[in-house]
Amino acid sequence: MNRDTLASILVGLLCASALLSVWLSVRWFFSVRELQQLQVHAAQVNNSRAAAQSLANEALAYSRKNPAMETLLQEFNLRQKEGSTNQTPANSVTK
Amino acid sequence: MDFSSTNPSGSSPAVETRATENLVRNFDRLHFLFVAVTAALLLLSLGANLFIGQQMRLVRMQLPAQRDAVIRLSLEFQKRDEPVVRNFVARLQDFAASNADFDLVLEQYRPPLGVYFRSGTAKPVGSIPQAPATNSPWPKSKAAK
Repeated sequence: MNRDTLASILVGLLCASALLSVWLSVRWFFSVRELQQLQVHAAQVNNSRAAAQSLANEALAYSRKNPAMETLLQEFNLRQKEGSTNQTPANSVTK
Repeated sequence: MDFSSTNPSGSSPAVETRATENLVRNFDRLHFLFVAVTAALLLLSLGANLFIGQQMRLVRMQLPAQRDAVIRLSLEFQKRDEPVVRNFVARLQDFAASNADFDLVLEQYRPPLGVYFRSGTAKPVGSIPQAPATNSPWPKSKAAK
């Protein structure tokens, strides 16, 4: 094989490899970005759930000093009604 | 004096031959270096491609499962929890309207749950401003698919 041909082939392969690198990098970038967006979205949903749960707990704590809150909590199954059994408090707003 | 045999450059043929040989040797060396560097770069590039391809494959393997899980989570939250939370917050706002001490508690939850707060409620002076409705963490178009 002529040595000039070898150099040309190597340069051609290098260019092809560089193009492949660019294509793979772009695909990788967009995949990682989508994955991150999904993770952020899931975290937002979980944060909202946690905040709602925390608010329910605050409302429960508040009901101890203000019984007027009791009816509202019973409506959302956060507090046992008079005479009812087997209810877990503070888990009905967000399960 | 005979000038026909003299070299126009002023050097003898032996010196010229030596210079040409030197030039050829240098060219060969440079050519070899060029090929070697190109081959090394090619190997490096192939290694990088292999690594990026592997990483991309890993991410793309996770992606469908993650996408399904997040859409399911989001839809489930929208259908089951969101109406309850919205209703619960609305009732708490009604309650807080007549119980100012609870309003302080409720206002702490305005930043994380701002989208569920009704905007028409009278707020005490110095309260935290309500988050705009556009801050909803659940894009309707995506989750509704």
